[in-house]
Amino acid sequence: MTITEGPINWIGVNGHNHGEYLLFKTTSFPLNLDPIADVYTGTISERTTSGAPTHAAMAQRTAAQGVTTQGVDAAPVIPADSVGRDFHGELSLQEVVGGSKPALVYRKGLNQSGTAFFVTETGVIATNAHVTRAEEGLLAVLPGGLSLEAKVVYIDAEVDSALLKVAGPAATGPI
Amino acid sequence: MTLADATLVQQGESVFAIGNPGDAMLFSVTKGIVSAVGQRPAR
Repeated sequence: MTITEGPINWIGVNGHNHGEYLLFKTTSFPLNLDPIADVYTGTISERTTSGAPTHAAMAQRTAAQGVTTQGVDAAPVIPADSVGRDFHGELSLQEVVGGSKPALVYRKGLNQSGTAFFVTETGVIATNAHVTRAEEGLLAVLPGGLSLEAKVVYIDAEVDSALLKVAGPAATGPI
Repeated sequence: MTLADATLVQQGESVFAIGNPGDAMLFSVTKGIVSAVGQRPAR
């Protein structure tokens, strides 16, 4: 029985050629879904075009309430460790590097590796999608050499971003 | 430390990157300028 077709050329809707792919046919696709409260944890902060700090998504409290698209833009929550730590003109390069480096991760897969960084205190790591796709086993190597198993919990190819999660809390704080 | 809005980055702005370029220099820091914005490699 033939379960594959291809290779087929994949042309995106924007005309980009993404290369070839194989079409797998099966009657069922087993999926193991993790509870969102186990995956999207912690707090991520960002700076918007208005300049006002907002803090997006993934807080444990929002996960407990059920995260929705609207929930991502929930009321601002300013972590205590972020107060007064805006690096735009306030911290030297040395201070920024010193403060950021502990959150840095060497993200290693079987086929590709790259850079990632912790974005929550609960082990959620941000990296690029293009070095994450097609990777099953991923290791997150910390600056001190500690290796943690990580799994992909979210990929957005359009903005080339992915989120990984290591088991347990991060060994270091978020960036 | 808050994440900046990437849409505010301007061409010519001084930037630095901390990371693992090509597996050769793990956890290294590189300083430079923004060469272009809105450019993405062909996939």
